[in-house]
Amino acid sequence: MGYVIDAFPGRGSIKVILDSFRSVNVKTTFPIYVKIENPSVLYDHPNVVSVSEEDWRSFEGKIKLYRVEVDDVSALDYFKKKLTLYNTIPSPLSQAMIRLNLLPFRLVDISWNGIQLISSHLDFPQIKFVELRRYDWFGYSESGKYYRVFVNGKPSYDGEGIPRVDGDVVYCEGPCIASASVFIDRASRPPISLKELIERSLASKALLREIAYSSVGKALTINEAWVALSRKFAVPSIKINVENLKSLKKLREADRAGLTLFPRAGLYNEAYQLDFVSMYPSIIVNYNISPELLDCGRSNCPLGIVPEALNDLLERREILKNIDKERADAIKLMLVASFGYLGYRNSKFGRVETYEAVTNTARKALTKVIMTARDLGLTVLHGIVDSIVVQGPRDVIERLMDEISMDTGLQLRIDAEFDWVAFTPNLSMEPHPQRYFGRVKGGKIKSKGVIKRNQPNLVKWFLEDLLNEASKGARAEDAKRIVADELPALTERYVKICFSDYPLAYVMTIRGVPFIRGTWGFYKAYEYRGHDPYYYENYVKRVSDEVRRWFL
Amino acid sequence: MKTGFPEVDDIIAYDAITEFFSLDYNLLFSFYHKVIVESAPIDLLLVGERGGLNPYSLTQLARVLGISNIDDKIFVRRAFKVEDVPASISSFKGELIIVDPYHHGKFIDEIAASIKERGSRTLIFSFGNRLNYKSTFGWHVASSILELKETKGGFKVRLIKSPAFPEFELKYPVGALYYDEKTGLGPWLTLGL
Repeated sequence: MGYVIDAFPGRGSIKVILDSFRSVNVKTTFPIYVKIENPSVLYDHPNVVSVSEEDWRSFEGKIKLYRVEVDDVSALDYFKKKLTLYNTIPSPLSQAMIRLNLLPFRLVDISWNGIQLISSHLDFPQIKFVELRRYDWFGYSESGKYYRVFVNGKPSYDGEGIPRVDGDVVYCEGPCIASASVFIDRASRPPISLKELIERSLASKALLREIAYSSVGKALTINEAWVALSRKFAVPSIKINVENLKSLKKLREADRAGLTLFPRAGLYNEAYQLDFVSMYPSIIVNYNISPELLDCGRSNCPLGIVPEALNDLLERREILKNIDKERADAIKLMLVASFGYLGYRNSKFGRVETYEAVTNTARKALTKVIMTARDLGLTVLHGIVDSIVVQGPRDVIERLMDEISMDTGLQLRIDAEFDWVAFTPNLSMEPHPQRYFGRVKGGKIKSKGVIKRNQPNLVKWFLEDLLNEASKGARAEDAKRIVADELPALTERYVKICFSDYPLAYVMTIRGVPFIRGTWGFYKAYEYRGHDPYYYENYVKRVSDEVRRWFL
Repeated sequence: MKTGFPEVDDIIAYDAITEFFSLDYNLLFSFYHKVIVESAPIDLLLVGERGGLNPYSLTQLARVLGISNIDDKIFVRRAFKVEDVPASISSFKGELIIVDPYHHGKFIDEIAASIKERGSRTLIFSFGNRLNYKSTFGWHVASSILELKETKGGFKVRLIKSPAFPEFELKYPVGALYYDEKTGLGPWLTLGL
């Protein structure tokens, strides 16, 4: 009995790597799906064990495919060159594993009687996973001098020497000395935590090695491909899309993004921010939007492949929210990517028409919310794609949420209850649609677009301090007064830091690389070599002037 | 199907496939917008991941040129990835304008074959220097090939390949891209008088 960590295909078998560096060989063959006129030639290949004819559906209609069982997965390369293959994602190795009940990071009992799954699809594996991160005086960086080791998410080492780490899965930033069943180089992949990666592997039933160096789209595509496989739906390696002919008028109407309003700049008391729960994935599921259903019409369509796959993820996320937020966030990222992948040209389950249908439905839903809110006597302050800020009594807002859920089938929830909220103007005094901040009940600040990732730490701290000061005011008028009183002193304090010697304050991170502005220009801040105080002084004063305009 | 430039229209009048190319993106972009409006009703295929058409510019041009209901006269299909291009070209029946069919630099033979197999007139607009690519990039497919170049205060159309005409250049003012030369701005100035 043990957790499945990894697997390697062999000749007529799979070498399964279990936790604590144990392994076991399991006999099997690997399925490959082929479209061919004369299937008897398939037996010419020495690795072919059996061939069976099957009826499948495809984007073009019914087709006949041959399931070729091979005893060596390397035969796939030969077939790829010579024949038209279908359903190569998930990999033949994963397909063989799922037939044997060998799912990644699941507890299995392997005996002479067969393989039994012990843990449920929601259980997190009880394995040793190690994350090694490097940092320096300016923060986390793959070129940092110091090392921090986290075992199962808990810190276990912090020091200068390269530590020796061992575990079932090891995730290193830069060079490290490790012994592991699965080793992942963190520097070569998007920065997400190891726990999130394992959750992705669990959710997509794909080996960690297969998805670790890919974007979130691969896990998502594999998830959809499992649904296609279970329905005997043939997915070609490259899907050719011919878009439906559109008139210029229709193109102009369809080819749009989500609806964003321009708010009236200013501070407003007592407002609520309402959010659609997972809006785009919910639209795909509720409205059954899937590329294979384009010609299906409006009624009597079966549930599409994409909606079914996303529905599983939505349910999984809802359950995980109460178990582990980090794992729920990993699923959230997959759901966020699901919409973009629906319109991505290289996606196996993407078509631009479905993408446009989703944005169109989202625009209609938000318009419906705005119109209903106005009918109910609420004041609409702002709307961004899937969220809206309104003023009015709470019972009316709850009525609005109920009505929208009834009308659209999409769930609207209160995301924030503001004591006051501010919508800010840009330099030309026009409203900035993507930037707002406000004090939520309890006194905390919620902000979007105010503190930017590429700003110097000094400016970030200045804005944080300022917003914290503003949060002391329970009403918009109080916040204005506090900021008017505190801003000159705060600006003065941060200008002083510009002329002092505090290297961390001058670092700005651009695309993961730390920079400092020196007197001769920008340089990489791996080593502090002075800074230009006047540049930082101007920066702070410029931001201070802008903030003053926000609180006018 | 016409370009709106009578001299150019005379040159390509009997050609099934005509290709225009330019190194100047903005010039070719404006040029084919005028051709699309002048040729309406017309089918259009846009090749590429993004961009390639400004519908508002088409509406504006149609208003200037006095063409009504342009929104219902232009039919668009987009081919985002290279594998979609040959199938998309084959899916059209009548006259067709193709914008940047060799955009991806791959599947040249398949794309060239699908253009050649069409029985109807086709206008191709390509970005980049087609002189460098020659036949490997479908150079043989077009009957006539014309290059657009920016000049001081306007642009010139240079005939590079034609079965009926020798190589020569035609010069136009830049305004010719945005309004009907014969009409000018006169009617607009007298409006309301």
